[in-house]
Amino acid sequence: MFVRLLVLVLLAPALRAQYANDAWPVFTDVANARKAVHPPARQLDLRDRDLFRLPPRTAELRSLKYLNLMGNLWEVWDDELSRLRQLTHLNLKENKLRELPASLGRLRRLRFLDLTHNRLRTLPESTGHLRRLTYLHAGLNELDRLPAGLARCRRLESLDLQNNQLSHLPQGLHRLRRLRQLNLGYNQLREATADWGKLAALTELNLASNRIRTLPPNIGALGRLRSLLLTGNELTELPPQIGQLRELTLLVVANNELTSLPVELRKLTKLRTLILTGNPLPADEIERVRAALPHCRVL
Amino acid sequence: MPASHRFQQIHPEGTRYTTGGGVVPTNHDYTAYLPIAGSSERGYLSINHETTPGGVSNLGLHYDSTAHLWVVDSSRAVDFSGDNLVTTMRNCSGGITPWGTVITTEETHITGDINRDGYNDVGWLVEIDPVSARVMEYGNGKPEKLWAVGRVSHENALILSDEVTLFTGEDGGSSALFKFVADQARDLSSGRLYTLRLDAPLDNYEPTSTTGRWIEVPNATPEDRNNTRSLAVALGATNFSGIEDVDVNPLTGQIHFASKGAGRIYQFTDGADGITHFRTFVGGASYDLQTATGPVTEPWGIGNDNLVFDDRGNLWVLQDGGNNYIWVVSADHTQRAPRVKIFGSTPQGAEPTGLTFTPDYRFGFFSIQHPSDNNTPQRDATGERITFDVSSSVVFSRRNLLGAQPPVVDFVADVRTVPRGEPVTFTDRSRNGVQHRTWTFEGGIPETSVDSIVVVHYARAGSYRVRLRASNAEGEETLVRDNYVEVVQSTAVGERGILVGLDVFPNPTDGQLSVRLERADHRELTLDVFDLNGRHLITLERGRQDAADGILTYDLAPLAAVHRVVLLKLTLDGAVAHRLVHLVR
Repeated sequence: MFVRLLVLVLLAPALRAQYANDAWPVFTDVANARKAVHPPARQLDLRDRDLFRLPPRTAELRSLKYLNLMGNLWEVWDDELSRLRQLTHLNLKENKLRELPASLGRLRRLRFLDLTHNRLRTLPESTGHLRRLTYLHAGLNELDRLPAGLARCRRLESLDLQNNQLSHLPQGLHRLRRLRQLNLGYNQLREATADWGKLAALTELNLASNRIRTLPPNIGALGRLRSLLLTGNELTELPPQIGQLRELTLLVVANNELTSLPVELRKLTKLRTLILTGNPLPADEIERVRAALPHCRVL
Repeated sequence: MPASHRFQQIHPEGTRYTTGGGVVPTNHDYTAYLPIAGSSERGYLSINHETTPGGVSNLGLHYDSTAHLWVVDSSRAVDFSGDNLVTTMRNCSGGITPWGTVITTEETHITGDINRDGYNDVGWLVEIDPVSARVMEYGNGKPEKLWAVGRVSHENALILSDEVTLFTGEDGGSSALFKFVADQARDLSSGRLYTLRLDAPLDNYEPTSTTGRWIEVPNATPEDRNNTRSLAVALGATNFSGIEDVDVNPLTGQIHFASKGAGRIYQFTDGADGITHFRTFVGGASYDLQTATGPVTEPWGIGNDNLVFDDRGNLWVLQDGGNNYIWVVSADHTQRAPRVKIFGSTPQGAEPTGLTFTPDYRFGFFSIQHPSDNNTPQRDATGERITFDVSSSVVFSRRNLLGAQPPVVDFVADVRTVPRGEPVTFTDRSRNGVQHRTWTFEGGIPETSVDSIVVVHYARAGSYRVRLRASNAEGEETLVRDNYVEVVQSTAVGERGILVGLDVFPNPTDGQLSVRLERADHRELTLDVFDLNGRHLITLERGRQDAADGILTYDLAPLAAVHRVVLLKLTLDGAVAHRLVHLVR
């Protein structure tokens, strides 16, 4: 029995790195959660409760690992939250948060943090203390700058910053060597300069709906990239190095200013979908690409 | 809800599942009634939970036609755990397939691929077998989500009777409408995906053209499928400001879909010529309503959400975002000649979600999602006082099908032909619960009674009327039977010949039954027991030779396991007589 419990405790959280753990009950009110003793409450769902702050005595749930506060009315952080040091999952999606305090950094066990659809202008420097953070979702905010400390979240695998006001890529982005998914769509990026070659794990890159005019040549160094979304930018050309993205299966460059395409596209032998709509491309240029990519659907 | 209808609360949050452990989560959403063998009184109810993490409840339930209530026989949570599916999240609306499975939709677009299978974990349609409560497999030896239909914030799924065509919309993100055409009937794991592009843009939510076309959306690879939202936008899909439900008018075949942000329900014809007749069917206006307190003008507002057509082509619209109405739009409604009613509204703080009907359209199921905790108690069809302070589902119907009903009056006598002065036992067999009754025995003694079982004697020969009036809180009914009892002078021949001096007692009985024969000139006795359908149950005596004056006693307890009336047949030297015997537990 002990061995089974040990296995459960050790493995179960790992299996659900981003989600609630099915092996444990999800409590929906603090009173009942506090009654749980063996084992103590580990998961609490307080979604859509019109809360401005944590209900009284929530912070006494010291074993809490999963806390869902989505769809409440939080405008400011509740310091009681910083006392929940065991938290691995914190969902603050769809609140009205304008800023986060430095004490966020005390939640050092956090692996999953969802801040989507708030009113945040930036994230605290202490975000960098969240060394175990694997998933950071902060889309649909008003972020116009990011802390340098973000680059210290070396375990980040998924970074979703879509629909913000960012005009620069995150500083030190290249340090996030485990990053697999990066979504910077619907921002104000004018350029996409980064040390892309260091992001060896990146498989999905979304830069759609920005104001990017050129892609740096080193974008070709993303050796594992499988999907690249560039819809709705101001690209007039693609660098020849794009042909080095040998794993690329999806490339979307719709609604740009492209008048020609590099011949190196033919090297993308794994490309299956290429969307070119909304560009001033001559018909014969598109036909040339079609002929060069016989296994790819070119639209 | 109008006075013509009633509701019964089902499966509230916090109820313990009967199978598999755990308690029912909150935020009940789409409710799908899935009949067993086409039955409208026995089936499965699939209830989405629009939570994070999400979930789906699978109930087995039936309609008790005696109590006029639905009974939940079993309940369990559908298992989404394990490395194949990872999880499910925000299970919003869904759809019922013509082949009897249910589709739950994940209304979220969160990024992450925990199991490294190349697919983001959530943002898909998921098909569930209601019998096993398991997610379907498609030949790969593991349960899978419907990858080929693409990943968006799915709100719903409509599957047409052709068994290949599916419509779904995105609530947020692209706000696009999608159409999926499966390669094979009943297999949604592969097929072609399209998104709708109108030929002219909407102007302040109103269509400026009546035509459009389907643009194919690549869905060949996991990367295509993960990025359905982005592909639809790149390909010029029309943005409909948050698509909620889609449904098909069963009479016209036209597709209808709700745009929450636009506060409109659009309709179009999907035919060989592409999309035609695209227009606003209802919404974006105020409507004149007739209410019990007079006419009112009510704005349609925003938030039209779940849609379902009934068999007469009326469109039921469930609304959230404040009004929380259930609208009914008549089949003959047009924006120029509106035919719109409000059927009901939900308790404070709650939105109505997910209406589906039984195949005969007598019952509807929907959910009451996230009510406030300050609602006042009310009686549901069970007669219990309930308070909608947690999420739950309800079944509703016309009053005469759900909950307590007025009595349906019925009675029997143990004998219909009787010698003058002999007893006749009358038993009230009325259904639906009788609180008050009045017997009137014309020519009998007593002449009236209020008891459920009455022994009556008739002093004079003749044919007599019996009347029973029964009532309860729901109403009253009267049954009159003319010439119901015949009282005779002579007992010389046939049955009458052995009636005199024959006594069967006690009646009713819980098992022990005695037969007394006072006449000594009969010698051969046979006693048989039948049910009221004429089925032979037991022989108590067969050709007994020593039957004489005296009392014979039998044990009928094995037949008295339930309340019932049986027929005792006496054959005495070739003459036959009958007695009805009431067996009680």
